[in-house]
Amino acid sequence: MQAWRQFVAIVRKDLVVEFRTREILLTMALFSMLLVIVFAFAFLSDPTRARDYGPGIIWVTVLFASTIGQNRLFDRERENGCLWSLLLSPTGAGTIFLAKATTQFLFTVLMELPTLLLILVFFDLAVVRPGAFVGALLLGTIALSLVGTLFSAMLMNARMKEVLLPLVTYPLLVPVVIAGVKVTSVAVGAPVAEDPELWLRFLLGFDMIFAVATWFLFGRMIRA
Amino acid sequence: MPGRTVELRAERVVRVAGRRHILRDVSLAAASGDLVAVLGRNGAGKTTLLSVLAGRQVPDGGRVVLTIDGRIASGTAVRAATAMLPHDLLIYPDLTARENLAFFMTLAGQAPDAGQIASVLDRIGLARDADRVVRQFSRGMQQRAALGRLLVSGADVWILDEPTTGLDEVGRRWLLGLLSDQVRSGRLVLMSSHHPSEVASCATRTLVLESGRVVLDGPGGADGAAAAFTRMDGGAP
Repeated sequence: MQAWRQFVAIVRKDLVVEFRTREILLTMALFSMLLVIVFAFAFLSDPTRARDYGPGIIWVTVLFASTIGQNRLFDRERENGCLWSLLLSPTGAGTIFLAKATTQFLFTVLMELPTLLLILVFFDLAVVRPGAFVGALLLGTIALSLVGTLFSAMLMNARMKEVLLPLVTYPLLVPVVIAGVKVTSVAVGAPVAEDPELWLRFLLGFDMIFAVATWFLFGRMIRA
Repeated sequence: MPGRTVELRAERVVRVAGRRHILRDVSLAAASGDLVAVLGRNGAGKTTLLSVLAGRQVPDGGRVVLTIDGRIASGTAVRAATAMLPHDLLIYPDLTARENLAFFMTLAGQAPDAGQIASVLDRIGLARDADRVVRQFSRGMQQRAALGRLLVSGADVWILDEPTTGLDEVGRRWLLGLLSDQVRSGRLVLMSSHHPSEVASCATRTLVLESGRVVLDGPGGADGAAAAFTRMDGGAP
């Protein structure tokens, strides 16, 4: 019960600060919309193939925009040395990690909603399998949030962290993006011979493994 | 949690940065009801010692032991019993003073109590500014908000690094009174200071560091402070 209260307090604190400063969400949303517009100009010359490249555009946009959020996720903790107020409190490192990963997940989902709407409208995509579409996005976003939160904390005080973070996280996240693109392709009715359930199970397995691994590693990394 | 008896011991603590020894075999023991003034010139190792005692830095040699009612505490129990106020104030500038206190009360493992928070805000002199974001505060007001964090934490051991920084004369006297009250109620307070008057008015013990070594562990009060600052000046102890 105590850990739950601490978890809720950290998430609520991040949301309050974000809705007061609008630093992370606004940047993520503007960047993702800019990307969609660029992609639209690049690919709309052949609208008949929108179902082929639409899923890739969705995942590249989500990946890049979520990286912006990850880069700034621990900025609030850096100012005034606030990370130490968390680490020196009786709150467990696992609780801190799960709260920060949840915050990142919520920010990414909030960025995804208008972005996806824009992509579906611009590229005239119809979601024929909404369950697979939403499932892939949720599981993929969880994976991005877990990996991103761990390395965002690790690189919090690193010089050039904006460069280092994608260099470290993207190789780990490539399988997530591939799986996401495969499921999304099926979900928007692209002519591909893929079994979305297999890829969704892969994403679920990835999330479970990385949830345990990142939760375990966070305490050690953050104190180091 | 005042009412418990705590003892904080540093046993031959060593802290090294690169090839430089910041702390060399520092030992001390302090218990509930003590207010230990840690003194020394710039670079003597005061901040590092306080950081090690608070768990913010890990010693490279020796150990720090906290006992609560005679039992050695570890992990969460140590963190729940100890609160630190370093130079960087550890409060969120984009939260209001009230939100900060509620947040840190929850982190300390207590359910936020609006009445207690209001009472602490009143005590730290921020009742009228409770709903302003801390970023808009002056340094002195931020220092008061950070002290509020310690008050709501319920910690038995307070570790403060030059806590009067940014406070005006009234604020300084208020803070020293607050610390004396905490010691009387059974807390253990360790603080670094550069001001003889602060040490004379509230310290029960003085500890002088020189190049990472304890060179004087003496009494508090006016005589203790005079002896400590004489030692720091290079005169006879």
